[in-house]
Amino acid sequence: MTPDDLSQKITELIEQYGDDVYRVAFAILKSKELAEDIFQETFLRVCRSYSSYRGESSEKTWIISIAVNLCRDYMRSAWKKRVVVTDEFAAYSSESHTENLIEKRSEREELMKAIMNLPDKFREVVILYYYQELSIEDIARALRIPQGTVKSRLFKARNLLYGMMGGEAHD
Amino acid sequence: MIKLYDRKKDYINEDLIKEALRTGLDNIKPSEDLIAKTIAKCKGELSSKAEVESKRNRPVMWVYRIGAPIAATALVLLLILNSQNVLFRHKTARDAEPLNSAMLGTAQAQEESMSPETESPEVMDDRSGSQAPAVVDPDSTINGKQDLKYFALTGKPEDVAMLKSYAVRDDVQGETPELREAFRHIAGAYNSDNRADYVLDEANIVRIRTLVGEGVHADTLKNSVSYRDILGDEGYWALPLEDNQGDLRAFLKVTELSGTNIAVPSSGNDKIYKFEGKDYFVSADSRAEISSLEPMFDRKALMLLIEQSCKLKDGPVIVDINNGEDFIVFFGDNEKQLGMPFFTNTGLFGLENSEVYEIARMFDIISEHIQ
Repeated sequence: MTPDDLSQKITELIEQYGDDVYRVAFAILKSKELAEDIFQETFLRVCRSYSSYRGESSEKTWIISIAVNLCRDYMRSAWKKRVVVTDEFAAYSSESHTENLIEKRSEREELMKAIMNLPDKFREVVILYYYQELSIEDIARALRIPQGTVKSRLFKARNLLYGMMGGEAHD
Repeated sequence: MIKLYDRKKDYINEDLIKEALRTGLDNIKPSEDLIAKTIAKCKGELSSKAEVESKRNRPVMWVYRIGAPIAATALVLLLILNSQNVLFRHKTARDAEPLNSAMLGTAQAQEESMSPETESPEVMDDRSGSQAPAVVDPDSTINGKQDLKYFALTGKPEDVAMLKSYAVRDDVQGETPELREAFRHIAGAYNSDNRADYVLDEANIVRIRTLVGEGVHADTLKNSVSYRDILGDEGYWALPLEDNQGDLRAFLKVTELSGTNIAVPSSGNDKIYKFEGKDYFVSADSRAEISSLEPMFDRKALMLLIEQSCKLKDGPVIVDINNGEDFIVFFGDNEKQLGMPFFTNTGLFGLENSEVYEIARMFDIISEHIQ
């Protein structure tokens, strides 16, 4: 692939998967600024390593994996321990729905808030599985954890959500 | 009002989670400015890469490009020839040692192949190359002089043709307040020794049961009708240590030592901690692979997984089947016994973690692999 072709390809990938990358980063890190950083870094990494992409997973899975792992690196970094990330999600969602009085939507929002309040390790699998619709196998590969762990985290996440939404969590 | 979830059911409907995520995230988009900046950065990256490539094509670079692979090939050839002792012959007593003795793990096998200068326990255990501790079997005490048994636990079950549990065990029956205090002390001591600040998940400390002392052969496994047929009376405690995100980062195998139950640390992961006049043998496992044990150390998640399969009447009993690395949780109802693997050696025997297997089928599969 010539540099021009590659440049064209990267532009296409940004247009095609940019929204997904940004949303995943935002949902995991709960910050617009951090999501922007992850967005840029993800596509720079794609740019650097596109020649080594062998098509073992779909382009989307590959790119989302890069983004999720950048988020995880960030969360593990010492810097995060000193910085309190403000939860921008609440403001973001209420801004766009201030006029909405439909109860159904408000319950959805309640559920979305509950998802955003899940511990990180559960939230990331919920987003990848239910929002990005990646397979268990792809999530396991992306997060470098066994498939069984993905399943049990999804299972526990659903139970936690149930508890957070007013159901009785299992003991 | 349309219910997004049914309070009578156990879980929130999966479609509703998808819907909520779509509602919450679909209107969140990167700005045009961010997209433009990113495209520009990527183009910059590509043009600088192209520049480097063109430099590489200069004649002097070709010398390196051709010369480096030749040098590397020569080095590889040299290493291969050396490994086959074609160029340098250094035959040591250790080289002559039969592989079998390293796997069998009994003092007898090791004594047969041991040279006189390597008779100290520490050296013997180093020979196994394992993290396994040297263990004194109380039954082998003769006239006050202890006949040491050493366990070399390097092999996975496929290699050793039998299942074996971690060798340091005790027969403590239940958890007492005193023991709970000891666990807190041990977790604190581990943190201070390792400059860590992990939290002991006290609610999920588990008692791991070990297999019968001599291990379990394929034939025994095939003929077992209950998982209880392969259990010994001993075990050890497993203490889960989590980071501030709640992720499992280490677990400590803890055994209470006594006058007759003695063990000697043989690797950096093993330590003896004292608390209130008692000695506790502690072996730490902090490999990344232990993340696959997370549900095993989460009583609630484990019970939920179990309840999906049966109405629990028997168990759960967590059994160490491979030297403290791989475990099976056994449980059952009135009619059948089931097992759920939690292996750090992923895919061991072709069994999948957190999946439920009927034990007859599971024992067949495992015995085929270790025959």
